Amino acid sequence: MKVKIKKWNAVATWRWDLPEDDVCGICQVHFDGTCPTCKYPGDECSLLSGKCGHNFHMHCILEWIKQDSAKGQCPMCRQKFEWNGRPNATETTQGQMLAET
Amino acid sequence: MPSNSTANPSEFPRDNNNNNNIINTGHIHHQHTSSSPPHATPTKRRFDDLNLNDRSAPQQPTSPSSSSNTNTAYSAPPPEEANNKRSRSELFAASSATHPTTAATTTTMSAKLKGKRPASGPPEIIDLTQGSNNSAGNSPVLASSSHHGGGHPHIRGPPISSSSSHNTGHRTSTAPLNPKGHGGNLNKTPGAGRNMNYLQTHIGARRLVVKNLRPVATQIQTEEAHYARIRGDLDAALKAVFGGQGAGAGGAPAFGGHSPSPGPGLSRSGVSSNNTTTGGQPMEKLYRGVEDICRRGKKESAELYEWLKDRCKAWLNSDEVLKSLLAASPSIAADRGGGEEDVILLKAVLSAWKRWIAQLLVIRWIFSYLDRSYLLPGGGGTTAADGKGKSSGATGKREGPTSVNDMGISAFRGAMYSSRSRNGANMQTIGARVVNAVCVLVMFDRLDDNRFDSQLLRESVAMLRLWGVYGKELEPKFINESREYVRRFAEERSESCGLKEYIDACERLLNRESERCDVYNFDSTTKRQLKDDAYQSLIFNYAEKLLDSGSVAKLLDANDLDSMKALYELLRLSGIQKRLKGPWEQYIRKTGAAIVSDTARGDEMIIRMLQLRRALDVMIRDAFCRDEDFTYGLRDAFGFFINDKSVSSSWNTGTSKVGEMIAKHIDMLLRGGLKTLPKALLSDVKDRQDAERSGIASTADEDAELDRQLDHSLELFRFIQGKDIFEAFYKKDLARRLLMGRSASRDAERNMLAKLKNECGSSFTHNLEIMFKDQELAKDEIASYKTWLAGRGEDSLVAKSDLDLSVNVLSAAAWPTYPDVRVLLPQNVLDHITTFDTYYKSKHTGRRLTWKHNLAHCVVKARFDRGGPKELLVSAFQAIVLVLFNEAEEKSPEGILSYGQLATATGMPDAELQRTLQSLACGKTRVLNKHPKGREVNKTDTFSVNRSFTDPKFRVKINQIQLKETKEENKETHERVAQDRQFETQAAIVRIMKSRKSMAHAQLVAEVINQTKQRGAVDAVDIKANIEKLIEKDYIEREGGNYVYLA
Repeated sequence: MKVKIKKWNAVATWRWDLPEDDVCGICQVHFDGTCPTCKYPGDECSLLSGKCGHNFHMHCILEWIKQDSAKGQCPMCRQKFEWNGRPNATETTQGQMLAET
Repeated sequence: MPSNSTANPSEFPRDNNNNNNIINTGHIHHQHTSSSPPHATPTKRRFDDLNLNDRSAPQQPTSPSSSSNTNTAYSAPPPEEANNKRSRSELFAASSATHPTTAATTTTMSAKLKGKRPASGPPEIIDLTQGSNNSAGNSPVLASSSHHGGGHPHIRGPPISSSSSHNTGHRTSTAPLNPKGHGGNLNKTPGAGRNMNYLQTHIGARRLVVKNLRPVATQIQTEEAHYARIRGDLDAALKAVFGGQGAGAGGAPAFGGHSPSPGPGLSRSGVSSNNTTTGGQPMEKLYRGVEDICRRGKKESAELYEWLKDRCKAWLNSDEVLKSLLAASPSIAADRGGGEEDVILLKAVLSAWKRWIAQLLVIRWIFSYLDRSYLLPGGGGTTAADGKGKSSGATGKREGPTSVNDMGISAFRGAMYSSRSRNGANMQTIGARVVNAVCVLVMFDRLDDNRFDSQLLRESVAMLRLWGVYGKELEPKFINESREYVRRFAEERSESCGLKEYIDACERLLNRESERCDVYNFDSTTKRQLKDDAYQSLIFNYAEKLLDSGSVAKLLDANDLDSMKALYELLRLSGIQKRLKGPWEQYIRKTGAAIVSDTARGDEMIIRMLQLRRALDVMIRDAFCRDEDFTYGLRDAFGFFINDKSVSSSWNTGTSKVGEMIAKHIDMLLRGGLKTLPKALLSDVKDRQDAERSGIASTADEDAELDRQLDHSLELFRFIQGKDIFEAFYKKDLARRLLMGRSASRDAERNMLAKLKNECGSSFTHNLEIMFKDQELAKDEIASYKTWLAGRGEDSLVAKSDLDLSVNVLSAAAWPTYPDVRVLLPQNVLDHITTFDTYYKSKHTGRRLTWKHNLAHCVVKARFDRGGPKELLVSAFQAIVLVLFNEAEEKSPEGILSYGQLATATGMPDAELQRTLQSLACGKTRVLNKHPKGREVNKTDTFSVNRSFTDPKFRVKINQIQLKETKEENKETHERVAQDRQFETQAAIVRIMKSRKSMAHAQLVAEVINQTKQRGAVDAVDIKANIEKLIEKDYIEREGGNYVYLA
């Protein structure tokens, strides 16, 4: 008997490449989950990590930075919040946007 | 009237040319009217007068042609006159001229009233001589009269019926006969110029005096004699009428049959032919006699009435009638029991009654005039007879004389109730015994006794109704007896029969009673009362028996729709159908609990529950008239047994087993298991009609049926309080369906999701929606991966490989958690997967992929020596194992691999490897051979390819094992749910405390249970433990007896 695999239906789960059980410092929701305004995790509700090492839902931190009282600081450590650049097109533009603001 | 009569004489002369007018004033009018009918039988008239010798005159001068109308019209005034005591002389005594040619009898005179006269005084003297010229004075008047008479040759006498004395007056007035004939006078008058002064008004004779007037001394006597004769005739007639029955019942009815229209309209022949019945006198004559008496005055009418009444009473009370009745019912029959002697009496009474009715008819004919004048309400008797009757208002009418018919009936009734007869030891009136007999008859009917006589019963009831004793005598007795009968019936039946028989018996009894009431014309009120009583005794008093939960449960168990319907109807009659709800719920709880706790048939749990539910629904629909209360009861009971912890404790899961089972049932349905459902669960035509009405899918096709089945399952789901367990299992099952592509219909899945969303809100289905979304994303992902791969083109190994890879990338948070199982993949698969991994990571930065090989499945092409080429649908693990045998066969022709070898080559954990090997070598389809044979896989076993594998199908599924949930998985899910509940509980505690700030323990526990009930509440003990945990974590603290929230 000779067997040959014709089709392989693989299953994989994705997670954000972060330590597990970490939550967004702003909305207190798992990073695997979405920010409160979103429905589906993933590209629709991506994460943003600052140079200070703190990660947030993109929607959450954008909302935070918009406020005047935030002074552009990370809500966790009060350092200047700067996007920790990674080679990702979408996130780059967002990071630039953030830097511009 | 006086003015008229005084005016008349003076008017004569003036109006010679216009005589008619003059004459028409005053009483001539009567003449005129009377003469207006066409000339008929003057001879007869004459004959009557003579023949009857003045006394037959009151007898209505009926020329047959003169209709009764005419009679009344012109006979109305005379009684008045009689009352006014001025009768005869006022009239122009135009005698009954027989013929113009004879013209002998006509004398017309102008009469002048000479004051009032005593009632029965002699007629006034009319002095014809008083005029200036006797003869001349006569002639104009005569002329006018004759002129008049010319038109109507026979001028009648005054309405003779008014008073017998007319004749006398008439005769006297004829004394000064004008010898001249009519014609002569008529011719003469117009030309008699010398009489002109005479014809002038206000001159001439003031008074007419009849000469040679014979004193009428005998008038009163003759009158009296006339009346006496009438009475005599009537008396004789009555005797004959009564006697007619004595001679034989044929007499009277025959009479009735002869001329159906009684009264004056009787034809002469009809009367004469029945002369014997009415005592020798023609009926018409008797009728006229009555009329005469009635016309004479109210006093006379009243007397006549009383007399008639007395006669009737006397007759009815006479021995002839009563004795015959009593003789018909010998009291010796009493010992035969059953009240039969009363029935015999009843028969006799009934036939006597029938005879009496026939006799009464004849009497009514004769006394019709009495009926219509004196006895007419408001006409004679009631208004004038006694002011007493009038003053007493409405009741006065009853006290006064009633119509002849009523009088007759009441006389009969009186007779029946006045005389007593011996019935056993008791003296009872015949009436009472008759009533009793009716009841006995009814009893005969009830007991199916052959002595029952339906005709007799019907007629008896009608008779009693006519007597007017129906409501007073019969009804109460009948009701009483019936009540007693029903009570005994209920007693007997309730002891001897089971519930089903009792219900049947009751139903039959009620139907029969109700029918009987209808057939035999009992009053509707009687019927209602009878039924009410019956309900009371049959149902209300035996409600306990009817509502005994044990026997009701038996009926429900047998799904005995008819009996339940009957039971419900019975109870409804008494208005206590709601009490059936108790046993109903009890039954459901018991049955339901039995189903839930039956661990041996756990897989069938939902099917059985649905069957129960369906049977009960049908019961409500068909037997309980869709009674809402029972639907509520059903829901309560279902909710109770589904959530009862003591019931589900037999499963040892700690969480609701039902929720899990419902999820699995739905999973089965969505995987296309509709065909496995028992027929009874599928909807029938009636369901579809209901569905159509409520606007949901109503067709009989599979999709609609599936939809309905899902609805049914959801209905059960609604009862569950711990919905989290359902959610957990549903999610697991859904994940499996999606990943394995086992869903029968994507639409059905979506549909179900929508239903759940409706039922539990969007938070419940949030994760499920993500799962669907992931599926769609995965498709896109694979498509873009393939284009990416083609575009790269460099990695020839992967690109050229004919392995088709498809990857489902899941959002970890939304899907159930799966354990990571490490395996060593075949090289080509590994290459593919690594490529995909790289692709994915480059596309989505910051993400990490975890491969779940235990969820992967694949298609393996295999060529068997005997079976030929096959496609095997296997799980990834199975595929890995199978691929290993490729190499083994290359090494040695047998291709034997030991367990140990396989374990190292695959790197799978023992449990997984064992399961995989078992599925390949010990299942239904065995592509591997195990040595030694056996069901269990041991570490010492060796395996080889089963070369003789055959299968009729090209594609062989061997991966069912992957779909099955293991016991460990199941347990884990339950545990996870239980764990989640703790968190939910803590969250609820914090939520509550945050809003209330301070709360007592009991209150808090109650509130927590209330809030978490939907998702699944934990025990009070666990809640307390969670409170402790929160205190430790400084969320709340104790202060006094209360908990306080710490901000």
